[in-house]
Amino acid sequence: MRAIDPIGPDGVYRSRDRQVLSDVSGEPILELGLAPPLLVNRIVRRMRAADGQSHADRLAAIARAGALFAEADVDGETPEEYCRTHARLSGVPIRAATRALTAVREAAERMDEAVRAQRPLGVGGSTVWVRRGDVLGVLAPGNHPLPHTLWPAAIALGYRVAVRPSTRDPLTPARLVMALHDAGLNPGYCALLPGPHEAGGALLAAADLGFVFGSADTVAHHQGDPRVRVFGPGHSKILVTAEVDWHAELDVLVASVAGDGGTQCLNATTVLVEGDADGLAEALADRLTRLPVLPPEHPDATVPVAALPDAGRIANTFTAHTAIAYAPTYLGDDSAVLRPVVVGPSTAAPAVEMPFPCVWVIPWRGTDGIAPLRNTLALTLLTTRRDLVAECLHEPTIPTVHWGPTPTTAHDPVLPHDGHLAEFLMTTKTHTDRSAQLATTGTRRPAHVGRSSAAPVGG
Amino acid sequence: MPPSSPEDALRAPFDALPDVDTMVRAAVRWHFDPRTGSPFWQDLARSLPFDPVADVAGAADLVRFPDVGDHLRTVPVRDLVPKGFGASAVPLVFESGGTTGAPKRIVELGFWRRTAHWIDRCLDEHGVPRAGPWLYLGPTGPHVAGYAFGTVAALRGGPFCTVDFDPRWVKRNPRQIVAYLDYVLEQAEWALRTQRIAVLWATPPLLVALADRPDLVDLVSSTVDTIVWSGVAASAETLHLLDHEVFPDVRLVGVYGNTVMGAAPQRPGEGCVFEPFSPHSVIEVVDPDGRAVPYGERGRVRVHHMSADMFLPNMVERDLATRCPPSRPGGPDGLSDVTSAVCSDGVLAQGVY
Repeated sequence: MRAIDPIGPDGVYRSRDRQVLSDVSGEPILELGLAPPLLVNRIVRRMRAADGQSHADRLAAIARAGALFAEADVDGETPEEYCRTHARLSGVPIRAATRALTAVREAAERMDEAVRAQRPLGVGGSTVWVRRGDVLGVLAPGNHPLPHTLWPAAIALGYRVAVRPSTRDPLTPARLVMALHDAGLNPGYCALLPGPHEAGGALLAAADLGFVFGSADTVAHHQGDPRVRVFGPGHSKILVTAEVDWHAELDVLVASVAGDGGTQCLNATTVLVEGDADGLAEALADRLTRLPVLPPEHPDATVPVAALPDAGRIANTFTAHTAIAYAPTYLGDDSAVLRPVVVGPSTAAPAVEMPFPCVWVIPWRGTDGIAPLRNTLALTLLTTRRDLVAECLHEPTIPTVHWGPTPTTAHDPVLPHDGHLAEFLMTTKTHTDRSAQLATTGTRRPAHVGRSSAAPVGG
Repeated sequence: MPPSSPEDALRAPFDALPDVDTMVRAAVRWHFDPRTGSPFWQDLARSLPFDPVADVAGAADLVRFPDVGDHLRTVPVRDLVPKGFGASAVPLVFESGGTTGAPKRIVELGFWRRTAHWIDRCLDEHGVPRAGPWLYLGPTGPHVAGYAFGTVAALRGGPFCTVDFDPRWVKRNPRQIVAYLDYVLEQAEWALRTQRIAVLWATPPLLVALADRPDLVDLVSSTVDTIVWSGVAASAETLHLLDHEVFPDVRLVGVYGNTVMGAAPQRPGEGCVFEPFSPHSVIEVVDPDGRAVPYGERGRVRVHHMSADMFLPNMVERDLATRCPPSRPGGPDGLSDVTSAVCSDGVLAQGVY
């Protein structure tokens, strides 16, 4: 059985704490070596003390790592094995991992561009751009591999990044961390720390700043902690106004709701419709029911699969919330397909994020304004009404606005995802230099050794 | 030849302890005899579908008793005192749990003092020096560990330095855990700097926090001979790092246990295997159907407590452990790699104690 162990500045650490993970049919598929809080603290301390590496060398290593991630055997794992194991372990259709191969490579190739895009225009001269800390802890999600395209930017910005993977997907960050080390990144810049629940808290305590991906509860838990940037449920939405012929836009709706299995924060969970909401709900449901029922590693799989007990729990949660009966489709190997559901337009229960394609179709009238569109990670506006678009752009709780037929799941590594990460990771500083005008006594000052944390980043 | 009275078994000297079945019969005779038993068991006995004195022959019968843990949350402590101790007996009272919901109470009439004598012996077997000062970084008050280890230190001639440590407050305020551990360590530092502490008692989370303070690690390494750790489980990797990387020159001795069950110190020798104070405490590692798992396998921890003070059979703990064979013929099973059972939401819930 393949094993993933903690990876630190000194390479792979064979931990005595082990956990066996099972695939969606309950078969053991992966052994995880765990880093308890004491090991987390020790590795983070070693990361802080590790040698630095120039910005240019880090960027080059990141670019090479992206290519290795997409094309090479990493720790003896081929790209195909990665995709297959990811699908079997997480239940997310294999197309998600296949897409991650290219998405990680593209994000890595374009890292220089992405960092430059995040750099404030006024930086230069007496304005320097500096990190807010040295070590970033990432409590990573397991719903989809794509969030792992985000944190390498922190390495480009000079952070040392320690990732605690989800037990649903330790594969993606393990492959990426290993690829970064193989590509020549100084190993102190990047660590993988699989661990028990309390090790996540230990990582956030040991790091200077944290990224936390998680549920609404997780968001609430970290609310108000200025050291933590939380990535919670997306509540992504689509608005269709009356003058748009939605029949022609069903592909965008299906991709937004169910793309890659519908497990991303970018997947739409609400479609607001001006006019024929019933007709749209029916047409969308018709398209979604035609998605095939297949095991997750099948190349044509589009819908997520869960182990039977998990599928039962998910179904119960959904039914408890909506009072709508829902039965996962048994696959015959102790796993079940979570088929898409269209809720509404007359349901009273508000939309919730489920780990399968699940969308609320809700009537919208012009007099409702943009209030129902607030708190939306990605919003697609299928409308010709310029005033609505302008209002959404001004609305601070909508970080992404797509106007026209772009799926909510559209991803570009250079564009901000819920704001630029540098808005959290970096700050600007005034740095004037009139040292040449200092009166001196003539005695030599001692040479200063050590890495400067105030070095400007991004050239 | 059976002992003449239950007390002979319940109070047997350590070098003449009876076997478990004899202890079970003695405990049942003591606690279910109207002249010696507690009002608590007298009352409960009426609802049992069997006659404990006539029908309970040994350890295998203990599972016929109900888990009375929930009753311990509400029963007046006087009702827990066996009549055999006399009408004037006044117990000490200790509690288990209490972070969320009502705590379980037990009475101490001598069993924990007896346990302290036994731990004293075990520490000798580990080669722990006598007479050195102790620093106890653990809970006191309603928590029996403070009383038990304070007694152990006194038996060994060691002055007993303590700090105030409230595990319930920390469990209730998990976001304050780092600050709380800092606060405890700050107090520990004064004792470590001035008292030439020989034995340090701490919980694993506290040792992990201490390990992140190089100045304190140096201080402990230069003065402390033995670290006794207890309170919550420590993973195999955590123990390995503490033993070999953080405190390579300090002896580590773990003590598993709780208020209800008693204490199970680590056996001397390689690896961390806990062994209960047999035959007063019986620890079983069982499968979901309640049957003992084979040696080397993992299962849920089930405990039985039999002393003159209390009779607490058939209590299923929240811990998982690996069942280990006895260290000597006729000795009790050991257990290793204790972890907290996974909660329903799939995450491990633990505190600092």
